[in-house]
Amino acid sequence: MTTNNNIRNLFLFVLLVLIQILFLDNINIHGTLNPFIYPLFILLLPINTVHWQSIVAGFLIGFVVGVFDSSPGIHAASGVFLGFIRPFVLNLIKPKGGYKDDSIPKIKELGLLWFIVYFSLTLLLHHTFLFFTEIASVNNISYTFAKIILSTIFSLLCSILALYLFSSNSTKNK
Amino acid sequence: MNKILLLLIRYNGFILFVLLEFLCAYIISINSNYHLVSLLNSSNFISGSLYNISNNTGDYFKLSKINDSLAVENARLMTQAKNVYFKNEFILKTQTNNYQQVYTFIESKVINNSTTKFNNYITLNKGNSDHIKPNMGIISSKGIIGITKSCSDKFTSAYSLLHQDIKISAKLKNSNYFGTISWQGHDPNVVSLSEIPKHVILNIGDIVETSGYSALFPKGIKIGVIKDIKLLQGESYYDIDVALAEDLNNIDYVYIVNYLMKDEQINLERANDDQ
Repeated sequence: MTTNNNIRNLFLFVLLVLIQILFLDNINIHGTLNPFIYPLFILLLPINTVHWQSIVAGFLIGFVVGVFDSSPGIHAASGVFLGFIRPFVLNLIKPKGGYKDDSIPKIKELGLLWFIVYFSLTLLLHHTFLFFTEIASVNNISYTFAKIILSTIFSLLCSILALYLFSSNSTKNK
Repeated sequence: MNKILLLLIRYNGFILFVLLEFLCAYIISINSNYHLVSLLNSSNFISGSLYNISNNTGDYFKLSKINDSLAVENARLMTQAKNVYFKNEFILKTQTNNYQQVYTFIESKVINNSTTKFNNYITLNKGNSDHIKPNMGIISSKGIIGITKSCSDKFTSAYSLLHQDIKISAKLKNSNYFGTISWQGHDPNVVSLSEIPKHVILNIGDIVETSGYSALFPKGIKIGVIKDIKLLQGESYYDIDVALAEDLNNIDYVYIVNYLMKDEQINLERANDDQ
């Protein structure tokens, strides 16, 4: 990775962790749902990152976010899972001509619809893993499923919002 | 060797994923008791179910032998029941329960056993839903088996008698001298009886049974017969080897002792320790 990439990654890591722990962890719809924006770190890695790097990145950000939520292991486990499935999902939703530029996915290049599909698939899988690990049983499974779907929708909205803010920043700088 | 390295490199993502997930499971378990118990319960459930299935398939080969031992057991229990009934009447008339210890027995099958390790454990196929709790004694028709350790809903894990932490209060049958039975870790058929003072007259072949002093086992359950007596120079207690009446390599149906007045006795004895 180039130094530029490293700086961008570090900046994104710190920013996402701060937003998550300062704002989003305090939003509790109906007392239970809160959005998760830290998966964005793994999802917005350059498309050609090596598999093991995305897994380790998932572990790190999941662990750090979890420390502030008293559940380091649960978020770390879901982060690892997300890093693991990322290449498979990217392969699945590959646009017709393949990925033009092997770098950070951008709205200008891939379109909003691609991003919605990408985010909803990955966030759904991530939240499923997270909530099943948290409850660690199949009692009350309808409650778990409801929590997964509603939380995914909420996280999806927050992620798209953040994506627009982040990408419009970079276009403004150009 | 090269091929193994190539395989590791090719699947490095998956291997790293599995390793990190195990690390995360460890982190979760040490931080949250709920997850630790849930993980242990589910692994108990999986291993318990597997042992149950393998046990059921082997059962058909043992049916006639089990029938015979059950008939013997029935005969013994019927005579005992008559005695208990008689005692009940006596107590109703005199309105005291000084002479009665109230025990009920829950039968269960052993679905996993070991005798060759230093600390051995037994798995039983009854659990919380059959009113089994930790710290209950387990006996069989021939002798003592162990003490229950932890229970899930349908299975129980128990310390075998062949475990370094298990000490049973025992007494000689033909006198009231009492001591402690513990396993030395060598021979699964021999346990050691300690704290019998050196002035007691002992013979090889004397029967050792439970004293009833602990809240775990009723009085009079046979443990074994004296096999060897040693008195070292300068010691004031015998070093007695007891040959076990029950062969722990060959246990099947067991009974878990439910002592109905356990809490009362333990609370009373605990007051002694506090003073």
